[in-house]
Amino acid sequence: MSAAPQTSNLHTLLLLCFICLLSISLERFTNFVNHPRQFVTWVTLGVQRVANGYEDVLRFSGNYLSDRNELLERIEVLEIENEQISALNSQLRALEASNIELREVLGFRIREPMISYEIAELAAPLVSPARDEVTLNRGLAHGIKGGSAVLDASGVFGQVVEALPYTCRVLMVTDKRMAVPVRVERSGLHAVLTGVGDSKHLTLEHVEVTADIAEGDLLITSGLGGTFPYGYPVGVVTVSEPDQAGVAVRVTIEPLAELNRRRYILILTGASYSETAAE
Amino acid sequence: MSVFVSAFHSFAFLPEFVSYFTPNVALLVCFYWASNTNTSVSLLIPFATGFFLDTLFAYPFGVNSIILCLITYLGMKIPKRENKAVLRFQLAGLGVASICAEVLRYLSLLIIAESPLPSPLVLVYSVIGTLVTWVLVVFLLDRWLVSEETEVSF
Repeated sequence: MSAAPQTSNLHTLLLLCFICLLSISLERFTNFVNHPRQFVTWVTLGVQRVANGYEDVLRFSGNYLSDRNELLERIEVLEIENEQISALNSQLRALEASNIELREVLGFRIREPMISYEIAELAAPLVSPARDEVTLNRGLAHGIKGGSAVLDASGVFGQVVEALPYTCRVLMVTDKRMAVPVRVERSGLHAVLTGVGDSKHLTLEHVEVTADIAEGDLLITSGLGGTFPYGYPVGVVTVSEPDQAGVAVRVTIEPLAELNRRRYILILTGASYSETAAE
Repeated sequence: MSVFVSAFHSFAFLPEFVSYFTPNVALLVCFYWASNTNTSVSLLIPFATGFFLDTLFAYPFGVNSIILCLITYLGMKIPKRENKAVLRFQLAGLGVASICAEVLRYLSLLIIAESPLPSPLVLVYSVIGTLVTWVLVVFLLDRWLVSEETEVSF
């Protein structure tokens, strides 16, 4: 009597497994499943928003309950910070102009960075503890492409690994799969920085024992590879000691980006350099 | 419901290693639903749920659907819980199934050519988390529910 439903279940199972395998194959070799996936992503983001809505409630209630004096104090602090940043910005512009002038005098090629940003909001936090990835609410429709660099106000955040029509997945700088070409600001040493799967530590690969690197050194992007523009801070060296064999240095770096605390993040939508030879 | 629970990230204040033991909630729900309840089970629900989990955890589109469909089917075939021997059998079955599920998910990352892969130890942690949660569900929550039903029947 029960043989018929069991056979029916088995047939359904086989059919569904076939559809799944077809979907995986299509995703691997074509863009055919991008739109269904985007639709499901929208629904899932809604579920995530509801599931993690307590954070918004806490933030809102915190703001609502802040008294007037506290808010005025915060505004004052932000205004002072704004003044300082404006002053630094004008100083930076002056230095940039002076740098271009000097390059012209020396006959170097002038590299004018043309960088455009898109401000994105964190749509979903870490996808899995084993993979340092987050989802942002900007995608192909906003000019985001796979491979775009992602920054926050403090430093390099990561890189876009998948751009869907309205969202994108970002691999954080701490992920094991991530590698960033960097330069030690003080000594000019070039190296490749990689993640170790720990949100608080990064490491440098293949650093010789004679390399000029010390604790407290600031690492900035070297611009090599073309993904990350030159000069963005990445991290600070916290440990620099010879390994057991004594031929290489074990370097541990603390990332500067506030990886688990930022809500708004910058995605570089276009980073190129127009090179003109100085006359 | 399982998608909702999977999407919940409320343990940021706990040490990072705790998150490695996050149980596979969807797998547990499907297995419990298929093996321990008397309601009729449709394979279409785990199929659809799987797609939501694929987008949530960024797996190839269909991997979690296959896993949940197979787990639900296994749950339908496994003997219903009647005595301690069956409980142990179910726990062993779930253990093997969750290991297979984690291996399948791990291999699926190879399909999308993401290398290097995370440490295989992460699979072990997740399986441990899943089995511990299952034991808690069966021996605490489920016993409480059964005792309540018994009281009503008296």
